[in-house]
Amino acid sequence: MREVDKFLAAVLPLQHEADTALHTGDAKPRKALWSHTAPVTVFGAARTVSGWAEVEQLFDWLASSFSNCQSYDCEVIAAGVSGDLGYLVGHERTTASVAREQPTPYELRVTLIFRREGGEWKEVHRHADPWPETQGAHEQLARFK
Amino acid sequence: MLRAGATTDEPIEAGIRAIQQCHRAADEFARGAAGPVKALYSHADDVTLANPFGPPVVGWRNASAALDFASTRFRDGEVTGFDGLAKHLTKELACILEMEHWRAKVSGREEITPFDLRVTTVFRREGDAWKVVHRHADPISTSHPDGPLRSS
Repeated sequence: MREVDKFLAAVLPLQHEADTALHTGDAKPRKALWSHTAPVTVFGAARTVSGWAEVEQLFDWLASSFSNCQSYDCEVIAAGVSGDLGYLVGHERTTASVAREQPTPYELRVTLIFRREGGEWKEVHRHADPWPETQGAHEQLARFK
Repeated sequence: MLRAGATTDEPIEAGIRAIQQCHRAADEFARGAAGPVKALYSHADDVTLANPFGPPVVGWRNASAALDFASTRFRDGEVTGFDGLAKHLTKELACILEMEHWRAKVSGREEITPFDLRVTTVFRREGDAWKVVHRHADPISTSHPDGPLRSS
């Protein structure tokens, strides 16, 4: 198996578990997937944060806003790995409720960066913004308080 | 591959040069010139570009076309600053996270508009050079014919 395939085989299930839980109101799996060692950054659809304290706060806030995850999928557009660093470019499709409104599908384009720490892949960066020419993400973002 | 007598600092210096070249190329892009940015991009089939003008594109041909399109949307501009937020580096891959501060005439407008982009750039070593294999840039919104000024 190529290194990039091993990388994807390792991180995609973790990513799926973490984001399904986050969108069901549980931030713990996502916090466990992330490194707590600087630098960690999120260029998120909702906010831009840097450093674990801010990142953790962001995940808690997101989890408190999301519920009722009906589906999450990350389609990989490109990926690469070298030593203990890997990245993937993806198309995320999620259906979940924000602020207890109706579950709404939304799509994001994402760049995720992972660093291997102690033999495990940990996420160190997430860059996410609405998939162009779709409205779902804008509807969801407007519901955040 | 290192030449005989080369030090292990050379890849790092080449990496720093690549980032500086990227910054200069972005500045030229704000004046409508796509050439310098395209010269820094890898020509591989797996390169990606996710800019404010449309969905992500894959492969050099598509990235080249997308860069040509985007460059026609900028005139008389400059990138006045780059804030480095984080770097992740290995021997073959570098991920650079920055805020770019732009001023330009966007999409045919007569006035100069300032805007900021959040940018994730991935470089890959190809031979002695670091080449861009991915750029994800957004002003925190979706694509629109006006690119980064979609809300105005």
